Amino acid sequence: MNSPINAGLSAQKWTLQYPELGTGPLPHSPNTSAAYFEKEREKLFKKAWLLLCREDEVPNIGSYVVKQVSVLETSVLLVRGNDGVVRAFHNSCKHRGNKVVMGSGEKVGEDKGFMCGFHGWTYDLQGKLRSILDEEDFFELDKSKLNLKPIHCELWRGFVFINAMDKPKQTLAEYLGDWGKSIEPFPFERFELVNVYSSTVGCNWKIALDAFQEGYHALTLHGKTAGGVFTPKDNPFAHLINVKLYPEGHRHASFPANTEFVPSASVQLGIKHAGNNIYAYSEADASRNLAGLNQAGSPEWSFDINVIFPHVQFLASDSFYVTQSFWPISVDQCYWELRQYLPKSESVSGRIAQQNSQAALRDVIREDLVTLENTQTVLRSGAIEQMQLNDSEILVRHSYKKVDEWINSPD
Amino acid sequence: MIKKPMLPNEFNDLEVFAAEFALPTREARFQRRVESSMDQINAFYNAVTPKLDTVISYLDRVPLSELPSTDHSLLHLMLAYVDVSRVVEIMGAPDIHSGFDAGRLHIEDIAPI
Repeated sequence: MNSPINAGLSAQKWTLQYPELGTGPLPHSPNTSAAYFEKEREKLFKKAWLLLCREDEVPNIGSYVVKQVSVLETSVLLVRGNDGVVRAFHNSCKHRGNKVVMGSGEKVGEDKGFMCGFHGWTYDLQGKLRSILDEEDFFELDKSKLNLKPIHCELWRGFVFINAMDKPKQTLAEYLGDWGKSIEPFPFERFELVNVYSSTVGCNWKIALDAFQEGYHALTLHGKTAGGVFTPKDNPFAHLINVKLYPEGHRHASFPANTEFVPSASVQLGIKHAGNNIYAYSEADASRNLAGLNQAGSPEWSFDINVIFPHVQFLASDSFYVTQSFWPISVDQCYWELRQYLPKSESVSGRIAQQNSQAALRDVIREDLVTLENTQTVLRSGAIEQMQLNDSEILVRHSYKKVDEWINSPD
Repeated sequence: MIKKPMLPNEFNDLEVFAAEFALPTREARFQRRVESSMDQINAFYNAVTPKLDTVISYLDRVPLSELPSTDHSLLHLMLAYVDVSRVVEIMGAPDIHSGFDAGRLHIEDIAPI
């Protein structure tokens, strides 16, 4: 069915609705300049609210996780205190700085408090210093200054955000702004985490993010894995059917669906037992349009892409949601982590249906990832100076503009 | 000594595929898929497809959390079936043509079985 709504939506030039973006080529240098990377670290990542994880990772009193956050040059200890509150700290003992929870990589655990394994100082679940071994051997100690150093930590819809500033310029709610308000009613609770994918990738974090903020690549890169599911007849290049850019830097777009696409038998099996599937879309009606999704109300809609500025992509439809974080490590290295959430299921057939979505995503993701290092390695010389962006790549354009704004901000 | 069948009696005509495909982890099943020939995959796919409804009805008689261990291999077989069905129906080859090295992609599987 050719939808007149969709035809109108996909014929628009979204970039022209945001004249401040311009339409010309952009430089590659933000992805290859080590100096620019350090500015991103100091003026963007050390000042913005950054999504760390979901509070499900610290479910009980005493639950903790340690995340090594390279771009902030620290190790973050997240812990649920005796009062049930989730707090974040620099994972560093106030004695001589050793990691209170030692080791590289992510740590997970549950305890009644923390003891630094170096000299035995202990802290409670609220980060307060509890005891010092051989305390009398010290000179004057102001113990009020020896609690674990907190990192600002706020929650939004079960997601834990941190801010490395001593005094964040905005609360998390202010930072998420109208984007946050528009997505807030989405029923995250209906879904369960089924997979975590991760890898270190030899590319700038923005090169990785860009691969997941446009659908222009779908026909070519995913031609053999995702079929014709995103290209209706009246929108053969999968132009975006809705775009919203927010002043705080967040962005949102809706993708089309080919509702005439006949899914393969195993995908149909997945649909039969889960009601829906990542790679097959029925006409979008009230049952599919969960709160916060398909804001233009198009009947030929597949899923939404959201980006929480600066580095988190969040895909959502009625049949799944995914979060992807692109953590900067250096100008040409990042740590990518994807979390796939599928509708909760207690049945065996539901598990089989989930497997269909998991298997499909795995193949597609590997296609997305392969372009990243290929791009970075050839840009390094600086010989190629500019990139050209079309209207479908408006989210890419917005990303560079907003990062640049923060880099060039006087404060 | 006769080897004990992996699958319940009702499905002993699928037993020939069990050792090869009914592997207990997603990683093992994925490796088996990409290392198999199209002949092996087609044989497996064609044998299971006509029995899909029967197998699933059988497995669905209890919730996933109560599935007896004697049925786990059958479930693993079905999860492997879902993996290879992409190959037959969509991809035309056991693996994607050129993609990120699967060995570098770390996957944590949260699902219970």
